[in-house]
Formats: sequence, structure tokens, C-alpha cells
Amino acid sequence: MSKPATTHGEGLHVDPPLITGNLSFRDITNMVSLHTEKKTPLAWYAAFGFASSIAGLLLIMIAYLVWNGTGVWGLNNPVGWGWAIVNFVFWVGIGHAGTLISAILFLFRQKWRTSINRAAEAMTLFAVICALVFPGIHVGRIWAAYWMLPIPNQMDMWPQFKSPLLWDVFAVSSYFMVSLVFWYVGLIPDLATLRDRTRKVWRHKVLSFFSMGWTGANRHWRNYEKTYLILAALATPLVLSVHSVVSFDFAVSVVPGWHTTIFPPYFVAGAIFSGFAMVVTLMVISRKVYGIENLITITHLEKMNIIILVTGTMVGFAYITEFFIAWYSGVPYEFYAFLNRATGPYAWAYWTMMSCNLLFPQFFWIKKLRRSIPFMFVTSIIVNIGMWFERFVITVISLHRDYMPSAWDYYSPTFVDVFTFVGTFGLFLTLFLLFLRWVPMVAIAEVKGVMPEADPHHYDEHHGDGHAGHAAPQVTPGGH
Amino acid sequence: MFKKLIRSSKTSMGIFDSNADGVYGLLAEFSNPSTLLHAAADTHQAGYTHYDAHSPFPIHGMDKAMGLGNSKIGYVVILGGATGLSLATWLQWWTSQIDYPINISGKPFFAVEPSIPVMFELTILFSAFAAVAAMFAFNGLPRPYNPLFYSEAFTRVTDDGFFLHIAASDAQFDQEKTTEFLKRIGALSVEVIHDRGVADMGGTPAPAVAAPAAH
Amino acid sequence: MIELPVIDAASPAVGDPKQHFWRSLQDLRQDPHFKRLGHEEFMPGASDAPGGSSRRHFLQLMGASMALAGLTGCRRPVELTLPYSRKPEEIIPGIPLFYATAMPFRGVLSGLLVQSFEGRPTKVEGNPDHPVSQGASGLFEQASVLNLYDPDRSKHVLHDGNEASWGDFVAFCQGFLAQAATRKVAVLCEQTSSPTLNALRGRLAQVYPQLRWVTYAAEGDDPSRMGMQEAFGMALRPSYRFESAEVIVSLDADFLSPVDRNFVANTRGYAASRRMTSPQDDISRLYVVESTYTVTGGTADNRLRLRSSQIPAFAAALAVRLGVEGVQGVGAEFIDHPYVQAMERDLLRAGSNGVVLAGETQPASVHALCMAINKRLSSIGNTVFLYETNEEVKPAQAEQLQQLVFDMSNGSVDALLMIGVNPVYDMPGEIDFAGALQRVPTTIHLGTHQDETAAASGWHIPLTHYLEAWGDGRAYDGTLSVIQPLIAPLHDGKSEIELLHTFATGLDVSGYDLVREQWRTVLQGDFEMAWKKVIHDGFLPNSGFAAVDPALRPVSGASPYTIGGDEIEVVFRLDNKVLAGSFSNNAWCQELPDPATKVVWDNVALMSPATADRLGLEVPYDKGMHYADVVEIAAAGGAVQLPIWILPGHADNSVTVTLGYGRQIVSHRPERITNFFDTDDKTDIYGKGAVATGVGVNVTSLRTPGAMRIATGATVRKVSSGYLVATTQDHGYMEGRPFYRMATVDTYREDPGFAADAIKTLPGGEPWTDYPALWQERHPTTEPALKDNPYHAYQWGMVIDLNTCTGCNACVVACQSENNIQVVGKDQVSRGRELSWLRMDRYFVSEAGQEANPKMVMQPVMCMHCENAPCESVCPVAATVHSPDGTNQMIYNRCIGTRYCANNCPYKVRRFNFYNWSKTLPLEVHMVQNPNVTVRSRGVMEKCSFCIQRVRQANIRTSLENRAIQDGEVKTACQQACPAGAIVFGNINDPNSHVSKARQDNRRYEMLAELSTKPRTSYLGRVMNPNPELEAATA
Repeated sequence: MSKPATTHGEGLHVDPPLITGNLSFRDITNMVSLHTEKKTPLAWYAAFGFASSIAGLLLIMIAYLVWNGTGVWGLNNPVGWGWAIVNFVFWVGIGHAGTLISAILFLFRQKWRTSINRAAEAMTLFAVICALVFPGIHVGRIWAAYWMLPIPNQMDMWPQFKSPLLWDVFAVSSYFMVSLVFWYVGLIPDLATLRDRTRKVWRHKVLSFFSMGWTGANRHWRNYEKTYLILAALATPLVLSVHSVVSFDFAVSVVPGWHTTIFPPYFVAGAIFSGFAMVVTLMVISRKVYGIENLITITHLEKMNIIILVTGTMVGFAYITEFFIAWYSGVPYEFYAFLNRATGPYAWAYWTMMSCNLLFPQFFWIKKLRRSIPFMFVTSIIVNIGMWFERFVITVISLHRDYMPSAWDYYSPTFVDVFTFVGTFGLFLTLFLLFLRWVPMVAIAEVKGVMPEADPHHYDEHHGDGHAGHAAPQVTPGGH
Repeated sequence: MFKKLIRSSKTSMGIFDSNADGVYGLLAEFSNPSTLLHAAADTHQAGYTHYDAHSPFPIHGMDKAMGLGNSKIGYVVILGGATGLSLATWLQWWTSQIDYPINISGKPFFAVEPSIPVMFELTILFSAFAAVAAMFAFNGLPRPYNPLFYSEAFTRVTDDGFFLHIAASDAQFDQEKTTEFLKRIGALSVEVIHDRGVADMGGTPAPAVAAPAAH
Repeated sequence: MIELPVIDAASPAVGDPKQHFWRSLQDLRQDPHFKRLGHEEFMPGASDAPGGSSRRHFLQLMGASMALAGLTGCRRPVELTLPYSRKPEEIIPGIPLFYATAMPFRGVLSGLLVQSFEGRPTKVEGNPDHPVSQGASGLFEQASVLNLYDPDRSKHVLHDGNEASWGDFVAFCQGFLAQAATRKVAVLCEQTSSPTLNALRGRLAQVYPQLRWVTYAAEGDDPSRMGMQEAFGMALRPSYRFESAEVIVSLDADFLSPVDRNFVANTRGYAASRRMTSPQDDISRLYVVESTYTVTGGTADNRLRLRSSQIPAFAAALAVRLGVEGVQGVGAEFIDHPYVQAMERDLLRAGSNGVVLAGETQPASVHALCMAINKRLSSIGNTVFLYETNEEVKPAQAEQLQQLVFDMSNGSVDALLMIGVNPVYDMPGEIDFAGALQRVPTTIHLGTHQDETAAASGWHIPLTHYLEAWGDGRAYDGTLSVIQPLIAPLHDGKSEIELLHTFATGLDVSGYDLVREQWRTVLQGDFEMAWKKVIHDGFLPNSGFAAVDPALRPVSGASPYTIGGDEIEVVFRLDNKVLAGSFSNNAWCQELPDPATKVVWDNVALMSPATADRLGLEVPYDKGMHYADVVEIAAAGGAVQLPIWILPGHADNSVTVTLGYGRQIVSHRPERITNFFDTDDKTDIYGKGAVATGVGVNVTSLRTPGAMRIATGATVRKVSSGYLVATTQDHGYMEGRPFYRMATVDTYREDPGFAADAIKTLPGGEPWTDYPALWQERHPTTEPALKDNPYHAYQWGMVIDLNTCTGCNACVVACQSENNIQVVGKDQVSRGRELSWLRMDRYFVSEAGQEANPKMVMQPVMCMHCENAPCESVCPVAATVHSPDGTNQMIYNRCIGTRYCANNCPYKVRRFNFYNWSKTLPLEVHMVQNPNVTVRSRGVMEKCSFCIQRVRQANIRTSLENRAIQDGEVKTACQQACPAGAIVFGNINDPNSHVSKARQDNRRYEMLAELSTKPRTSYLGRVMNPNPELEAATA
């Protein structure tokens, strides 16, 4: 709800200003629109060329895989899932922050979200796209992967709805589609803004098409806001469900180390954890590059760091609980699985995970570090490394030594595994760069909506009939 | 009768007809959300029905000021959700119990427990699509042609302009009187919008906006 | 990328005085690969049906099936092939025919029943009626069918390396016969029991008065036979009846290994002596004294690891204690050994039910000594039978060989025939056979491959496979059999008898006529009738040897070896998988895990952990790979370098090496070369020349004619490290998990439910059996959709008796042969991608303080066909589901390869096709595949199906005959092969079926049953019968 009604007055007193630098509505419009209108900077081309060539690497690796077979990966008989699944879970996890920021914070009236939700949602979409690459290519017969969809056929063969993998298909694809419409609905007023600013005929036509003739009519705002609220209300359980379902892939199996009831909440917390870390990484860069420090202030980043701290602690707690339960359950296989994580041939991975996820975020208890750009940047990257290893630990270490000692083996990736993963980062960056170049990276209308001047009473209290005009009214930090 | 129904629904979408001499309506600009809000309230009191307020962002209290009730989107969403839920249930039950029952791990052909995730996801998916579809339908979007786009000043409605538009199709509409009325309730400027009927999405591209707003 | 050859590309362009025309650089360069193209008019495959076998093969096969149609009728020449439109009446496409025949194996025959699809032999089984095999078979019989389709088999007659024709050879023989009287002809012939061949030998001796005949076996003399000659003065053949034995003492005798010539009968008998139906049953006790860990050692109740060179002294000590007359003052160092004392007591207690036998590594004297002991126990005639083979007493092979080679090198041999042997490869190091061979004007080699000897010989004739040519011979017990071919020779090969006959007479007579001619003297009465019966049955009943009990000659028991405390001995054994090389070009055998080490595609030097420590050797395990040190072993004969392997339970200061590796077989198949982005060239095991070429090391040069089995005083020196050894099992210890459950007889009698009790409760004390069974109500099998299915009446289950299973690997190869399981090669195995559906898990079990000599236990593990199969519920496309008859089925063409099922299988029996293995198979190898089993393509999961194809055939057959499937009518491939009868398969709905009865056994348990997977495959816990006194002594 961009209507500040409920929290006006006192709300504004306690909160530090969300938007600093005495900006008028127009300043905000200009500040954001500018980047989609100005001549493309060389730096962008450079970055884009770099990113897209890495994305090309992904294509090459996929082609190599499809031509030769799954054998080009490092998988073997006990370890049927390797980097592909690890990367899938990793990217889906990252894809959680966007919708979370948009939806949950929206429901919680967290107005600070407005500066970052657009970019975060975009990040979600791109991360989910990267994630969706893997379920597609990790199967042995890629050309038959579509059999997982319930498509009527002459053989009456249907998917097997008891399989968590099928739940995945539904959860992740629904998540992607809902996030997409959510993102697009939020974009419409801003695309209209760009439409009304442009003088180029074709740009105007394209923008007119996507903004659907939006005029900011109140009769439209009325339905629009309701829809946005409903979408937020729907996306909230959805975002929580997606990683729960992903965790079912493991939790529903019989593999020691997978068969754990704590997984759904633990995965969701981890997803939010890594997602926010990724948002911080990207925001720290883009706000600097695009000079929008006033829109995405240190306060925004600090709030995200707090969430990282909270979720990080939850995840760490989950690690310890798991271990305790493994011992407490008295199931020898279960206990061995965890002992093997900490002391087995993959102990290095386990301890990397522990230190990255359990140790580093704890520094955010210190306000100075919480607000220090370089520190949060480094930490956010460390957190994502740690979260990748968490998925590696769960997937590979549990598999390589399960019940039958005679079947135990070791898994190590091949260059194809590695470059495929690297390639997805290329894909992600490519998409994100396109987003930054062509789409308002901040939700203009929403930001305006949360500014004090957007509140009619603002004028009643201060400027009588408010004939101070639309030339930017003074914003009084700290409220009134 | 049917015509009236169409008319009222179009009105609710903010789509009006131009009158005989091609006038679509009067577009008045106001200085800020507050003035627009009061103006809208006055217009409502004055008994106008075919009018709308345009702003870069939703203004709190405007619905009340314009005397508009609550949005009906919610009901559509419930319908969508119900559809998704029942479709998911039927799909899983029919495929695994009726059409092609197979013994899978000795589990019942169909059971609720393993079916819940898919039921849940489809419910959400259909609800979300229903919400967005309803929003477009109720708003009459996409609306490529809108005479308001002929107005130069109106381009700022998505930037920092606040406008009130009274449509010529309103019963009380009278070009002079309504203009006066608008001036009285604090319009900075009033512009007559002619429906030129040029079917051009959003009129021609706006002039450079870099210059400070001119009016 | 290769030009199509010009029509006469083969004709040599060199030496052509005139200018010659050449079409390409290869042509100009006389590129061998290009020349090969000349031999075949078209590119390989160009004239072939896509995927299947070539048109020519097809016609050959049809011809064969035509020829065999009557089976009893005469064998028509191949030229009379007919299109299948005129179908021979017996043959119904898709319905296999079974023909009785026999396989020559180390000088004896094993009776077989071979399955043939439209004239294409695909599967070998034991002949149920044959007195020895009784339906069972070993891994070599099972694997032999792949030898038939070996793509590297010799395909042409060669003369001085150039392609010649059989006609040329016949002409040569006629010319050679001219001065037959003066020709000094020598024959080096493999061991054979063929009457026809022996007759031809006599005939040859008439033609060539100066004929010299040397029977040659790569491994050396048959010490058992020499021992009998020593003990009884005649060539007797001992046969053991373990079924009636109470105490068995094996002195380095691996009598349960498929390498043993009487393996099937031994295993059957031993299993009978171990089978228990109730705790009250008595079982035999097996003592094994051996240097390496063998299958027999694994089944032993009490096992003593001892250097093979010390075993003669041990045997002597035992003989002295048992008071064998004439044996005094020997074996002093073992006279008070606890094992000797325990054996003495047990043997005397058992009396005639005791038996002592020695192994192939032991010298003749030890075999003689064992016979003396058996005589002393008067067990001859009870547990030991001595067959009168009527073969002449022959001198030691070594002397004959040395004499022959001496004569060869001084030019006093005009012609040398080498029949089915490969002396250039396996002659001991001291003898320079290759050199001597060059001095012989005429050398003729008859062999299956263009191998080492073929390359050194003037003439090379392709030898036929036993499924291609007529022959005959005797089983171990002497039973006469006719070897009946199932298919016309795939290449222009000749059998031993055909060659010998041609060489003796200059005439080209078919083997069929030769065998019939011989058998006219064997069969009484109406020859045609009797002949038909023999062909049909596959053997001549009651033609076995007579058992005799002759007087014993005095035996001294003196050991030929004197070995110092930490002097190192090297023991040469026939390889468990490739023998002395006759199976080394067989991919199934190469990829078959060695029973003890699980090593594939290599031969390694086995030694004990202690010895490895002493020599500073190790086999580091890093990232799932074993990187072995490479040592140089030097002995009297010479020195070889090969990787080591550390085997717990191996005797200290002893090194075991196996023969049969390091082959050099010429292959004419093109090397597979693919684009840089295509991995086929890396994954195709047939893509780099012959399968055996370059695998392992030839260790024969360590041997001397005097020391063919054991070389003492060897030195072992580390030369390098980091040699990758591929194994199928990285982890040998059970981690205290109760997968393999065993108890001593006493424990079993106290607690008959020991196996089930191993997992009594779930954590928390709740008995898991009381746990509510998963999904019991609304169980699919109770719903009409499945209940009304006709298959539902039968519910298939399996029981594996660990008491009788020895881990001989017969089932593993049988499964591979029946189910078209592809071979993936060393590299892929080392990555853990082997495809075997049935794996033989080998665990080492040791009590505290006994780590140096652990027990080695074997457990066959295949799909358990769980009723609550964890694999099924996780498959997103229902590619693995449960059949109405209760088997867990894999639907290959529905599988998309998520591998989730494999992850979720607690038994890890699912195998994934990481590459398209069948795509790169040579045409010949395609023909070995079973048409009733889908050949899996890339990207799908596969696993044991309980041989569902056999079940379905039975369903169809019985529904046509409108009757029920009888118990035992359906046998799985593993069950059918198993000589121990350890595997029982059948309908658990039928309370009287064998499987239902076996499931009543109180030793029954299921692996990981506490997961509530409800496996259909059960195990019967193993009961051991160790000597309590010894347990006390060693503990």
C-alpha cells in the first residue's frame, strides 16, 4: 500500500526519511527515467559484451552435454545428482528475495521496499530463469523432459503426481509466472511515465503498447491497487511454498541426511538469506553506478543486512538442530551421514559452509559494519558462496555415502559442470544489464507514493490550500 | 436498457463518449494531490458522474472523494482460486485413479497428502491470473486510444501533473458552466479536449520534457 | 573423411616397375588401415542393415538355422542358404530353440544347452540332463558365447602374413605329404579329451613316422594328474564327493573357483554339505590353507594364510600326524601347528568322511601325499573317487618342451603344428620359443585370433568356436559328448580335427564326417538312431570313467621348496576371469570384478598389508580412485613391472600374480576417431584395437619350466606410483551395518532367529515389525484395477542362501548375458559407472585383533523388488512402477533419466546409462544380444527385472496351454546358472513353492527391512562351522 494513511504523522516521526536530498516528484522521474533514455554508455556495452559471452559459454556447454550425454558430468552411481541440482537450488533460493521484498514487505507496510522492489523482482525473474535451465538439462533424455507436464497423449501416460520432482515443476513454474505478472503489473505506470517522456516515435509506440494506455486515472488506480494487494497476498505464501517444495525433493526421500522434517523452514530461511545477500551485492553496485544513492539509501541496505543477520542465524540454528537430531534419533545411518559431513572426505565443503553462513553474518550485530558498504558487499558475496556450499553439502555428501558401504564412491565435477555453472552467471548478468538499460530500475510511482508530499493532508497541515504549486514542496526530514 | 448497461460499465472504466460537436471533455490541472482531492470531492458534490481524476500515483481518499465503492476484483480472484483448486484435484484424481491407475510404491492410487502441493500451486496460479485479468477488464485496458492524449499538458500526468477530467457525455456537462465550475474549485488551467478520432495510440510523442513544466 | 577405396586398392603398388596410379596418400603410403579397406569391397557397415547384423551375416545365420533345422540330419554346406521366406518348420521367429552341445574347457567338456534365436546363439546354460553340469554352469561357460562374436577373431587364412585361402593350405599339405616319411613333424596341442582328435593323432603318426606330439598347457602340468601318476603309477583323475564329506581340508585348492575343471560338481557337492533346513542339521567343516584369498578361502570355516611354498611342509606335517606310512621326518616346522593338530583330530573323527585335497599350485608330490592321507582315512570310494582315464602316463611337460625347443633351434624339426595354443605368448621366460620358431621351416598355427603366435608362424588358420564346428570329447567324469555347432563358421575357420585331418591326408573333409566316422566305433546298435539320440541329449549316457582304488605307492612327502623366513615367493595362478588368456579378449570377463579384489581390466600383484608395509608399498585412495604403486618383480625367469594390490588375508611374503594379460592381438577394425566435441572415441571399448591388447601385463617371463606355479627367492622393488586401478567396490568394510548376517552353528542353535534379530527394533525400542505397514489400507493390489489382472495370481519372490553361495560370479555373467548389459571400460568403471545389475558385494569381517586375517564374505545384491519401492514414488513420469505380479519394473522408453530413483534406492542397485553404450558396439557383438530384452539407450535407468522376460514367456506359454505356471518353471538367469542352487525364485502366493518354503526358514532376513521397503528378495543368514578349539587358539 503506497498510501501512507495509516502511518502518517507518528510513522513519519520515527522513521528516518526514506528518500533523502529534497527531491521533487519530477526529480525522481528524471533520476530514474534518465538511465533508460540517455545514450547507452560504453561501459554498459563493455559489461554486456562480457556477460553475454559468458552466457554463450553456457550454450556451448549445454550443446556438448546434449550431444554426448550426461556422462560428461562428474556423476556416478551413488551420486546421481551433482552440480546441476546444487545450482538449481542455489538459483531458486536467490530468486526468493525479490518476491519476498515486494510481497511480504508490502503486506507489512514496509515503505522502504519501494526503492528496491523493482530491481529485486527483476533479479528474482532472472534467477529463476537461471534455475529453470538445470531441471531441463539435468535429465538423461533432455528431449523428453516435457513428459513431466500433464499433456494429454494417445498413450494415456500422465505424470506421476506423487513425485516431489513433479511438485517442483508446478511450484517453480507457478512461481515464475506469478512473479512475472506481479513485476509487469508494477511496471505499467512507470512504462507510461517513459511513454509520456519520449519523443522517439518507435520507442513511443513500444512503450505505449506495454503501458496499455495507462493514464493514471483514479478509476484505474482503484482496481490496480486492489490487484497489487491481492497479488502480494498470493505471492507471500507462494514464495514460502516454493522452497518448501524444493526441499521436499530431499525431505521426502529415504537418503540419510535428506530425510529430514526440518528442511522446509530451513530451506526457506536459507533462500531468503541468500536472496537478500544477492540483492545487497547488486544494489551496492548499481546505486553507485547509477547515482541513485538518494533513492537506495544506506538505511535501505542496513534493513536488508538485518534480514540477512536474522535469516543467517536461523539457518545456522537449523544446521545445529540437524546435527543434534541425527545423534538424538539414534539411527546409525542418519548419524553417520552427518558425521561424514563434518569429518568425511568432503569435510572441507562442510566447514566452508559453516563458516560462511554461520560465522560471517554475525558481524552484522555491529551497527558500524551493518552500515559499511565495503563490509556488507564482501559479506553478501561470502554468504552466497556459503549457501552454494550448503546445497552441495546436502546433495552430494549425503549421496556419496548412504546405506550400502559397498556402493560408496566419490564425486568430483568435470569442466562441463563448472563452466555450466559459470555460464548461468553470464546469463543472469546479461538479463540484469538489459533490465537496467531498458526498464525503470526503481518503481517511480511507488516511490512518489510514499513521499510525504504524496499525502494530501501534508498540504492541509502545512500550506493551506497547497498553492505552493507542484514545484517541489520542501521535504522536512524527521517529519513535522 | 442494454445500452445503458454498457454505458455504465464503460463509465466505471473511465471510458466516455464525446458529444455531438466532437468535444470529449474538459481537462483541468491542479497543483497537488490535496487540491485534486478536494476538487474531485467538489465535483462529486456538484453531481457530476462522468469524470475522473488523473495522478502519477494513487491518492489516498480519492475513492471516497469521488464516491466510488470498493473494487470488485476480490470476487473474481476467489472464482479463479476455486477453479485452480478443483482443476488440480480433478487432474490428479482422474489421471491416477481413473484413467491409468498404477501401483506406485504400494501407495493408494490417489491420496490427498501427496496431492496437496500441486493443489496449492495451481490455486495460487489461477488466483493470480484471475486478479490480473480482472484488473485489465475492469479498467478497460489495454486502451490504445484515449482523446486525453491529445492534450500537451496531460503528458505530465505520469510525472508530476494532477488532472481532473469531466467528460462531455456527463448529463450536467455544459462547456462554459463546467469550465467556470472547474476554475472555481481551483484548477490552474482548463483545457477543452476534442475527440479528433485519429486512431493513434496515445497521440504523438510528447515534446521534450527536460524544460520546466509550461502552463 | 576416409575416401572410398578404389576397387583394387588392396593390390600392392610397391615393387611395381611401371608407374602406378594412386588414389590417395593412404594408398600411396600403403596405409594398413587403407589396405584393410581393400579386403572388404565396401566400407564397414556400408552393405549392412542399419543397426542390425549385416545382410551377409543374416544369410549365414539363416543358412545355419536351416542346416540345423533337422538337427539330426546332415549339416548342409553354407552355400545352400535360403531366404527366410521358406521357413524351416521348427523355427518360429521370436521363439528360441535350445540345442545340446558341450564346451571344451581345459581338456574336459562341460555339457551345455544353448539358446538360439533364428539361428543365432545368444545364451548358454548347463545341460540339465548332463551328469556333471546338471543344468548349472560357470562364468566361463556363460561368457563363452561372447567369444563367438568376438569382433577381433581371426578371419582369414594367413601365409607369411598375407591373406591366403584354405585351398592354398590344402594344396600346401598335399605338397608337404610328398616326403611324409622323412618329415620331422612336431605337434604342440592344447589339452583335449576328444576321441576323434586322438584317433587323428594316431593317423598322423602313421603318416609321419617321426611325429612328436606335445600336449601343452600355458599354466603348466596338471599337478593332480602327475600326482596320481606318482601315487598310483597311472593317470587317474580324482573326483571329490563333498556332499558326503564332514571335514574338508583344502591345501591351496581353489576347488570352488570356476577355474577348476570340475567346478560345477565341486560346488554342487559342497553346497549340499552346507545346506541347512533346520538348526539341527549338521554341516561340513572346511579348512583352507592358502596363500591368496580365493573364493574357497572365503567360504572356509577355518582359514590359514600360508605361503604356497610352505604348504608342502604343512601337508607333510599333517601326513606325519595322521600316521601315513612312509612319511617321516618332514614338515617339522608345522608338526605342532594348531591347525595341523585340529585337522588331525577332525579328520580322524570324520574318518572316511574326511577329505584332503591339494590345489594346482602345489607340486605333484603334495597331490600324491593327499591321496596317501585320503587312503589312510579310507575315504577313497566314499568322498574321493579315482577315475581310470586310460590315458598314458606322460612325462612332465617341462622336459618335453625343453627338448622340443632345443630340437627346433638346432633345425631338427621340419614342421611344427600349434593347435589352439599360443606358446609365443605364454611360454615361460627361460625358453626362447619365438627364436626357436624362426628356425623351423614350416610352422602352422591354428588359433582363434591373430595373436602373438600367429604373427610368428608361417601359416595361420582361424580356429572355429565350439558353437561353429563339430567335435567331441569327455566331461570330467568321462561322459562322452558330441560338440554340436549352432551356427556356420562366421569366418572361414577350421576346427582342430579338420586341420589335423587335412594335414594328415591332404583331403578337405568336414568335421561332421570326421566325428561321425569316429563315433561309428563308439556307438553300438543302429548308428543313426544312437547318433541322433547323442546329438539330441548332448551326451552318451553311462560313458563315464570307471572308479578304481589301486594300491598306493610309497610317498615321501619331502617338500621341493626350502624358503626362508621373509623370502618372497611369487605364485602364478590362472586368472579368475580370463584363465591363461583364452578369455582375455572377452569384454564381459575383463569387466567382471575379481571375486576377492573387485579389480577390473587389470592384473595386479597381490600381497598382504604387512608385506606391503615392509616393502614400503601402498595403494592410496584419492577422490574415489585407487592409485597403486608399480613394482618390478624379479625372479629366476626374468622381471616384469606391474601394479600392486593390497589384499587383507593374503599370506605375508607372498605375491600372487595371474596369467592371461598383456596380450598382443591384431585387430583389423578401424580405430574409432571422432570429432573433438564427440566422446565416442573415449567411451568405445572396442574403438582402440582388440579388447585385450594393452590390458595388464604378461607375467609369464617370471616363470621357468621348472617353476611354472611358484617362484621363490623373488625380489620386489618399487619403480613408480600412481597407476590407476579400477575397482567396482571402493569400500570393503560393513561399518557394523547388518547387511551380511552370519553365526556359528552353536549360536544358530541357541538363537535360530539370529538373522532376523540383528535388527530387532526401531530406535526407541519399538519392534519395527509391529510398526503399521505403510499404506496398508487402500493398497493398490487390493483394488480391482490390479486384482483383476491375470498376472496378479503370481507374486514373484527370491531367496538367496548365503550358506551355499560361494561368490563364484557365475550369476553375474549369466545376468550380463541374459539382459544385454553393456560393458563400459576401465575409465568409466573407475568413475563408478559400471552397469552390472547383479553385483557381488565383498566384505571383510574381522574380530578385534584379527585384522590381519579377516573373513571374506560374498553377497549377491540385485534389485530387491521392494513392495514399497522407494524408487517408484519419486519418479516424475512413472517410468518405474509395480507390476501386478509384484515386481518392480523399469519402463525404459518412458524413463527420462532424472536419476532420482537411483538416489532414493537404499540398496543402490540401479544403474544409469551415462553414454550410449550400444551405439558403438561392433556388428558381431550386436548379435549376442537377447532379442527379448530391450537394449537400453543413453540417458535411461536400468536394473534387475527378475528376468521379467522369462516370466512373461511363461505367462504366455501357460495361458496358451491353459494351465498354471508350475513351481520352478520360471528360472531367473542367475538362478539357472548357480551351481550351488543358492538362489531360489518363484511364486510366494503358492505355499508349496520352493521359495515359499525357503521364506519359512528361520535364517531368513531382508536387508534394510527396517526401512519398511518390504523387499521381495530375502537372504538366508550364513551359518559357519569353525573349529571351536581353533577359535580359542587364535583368539
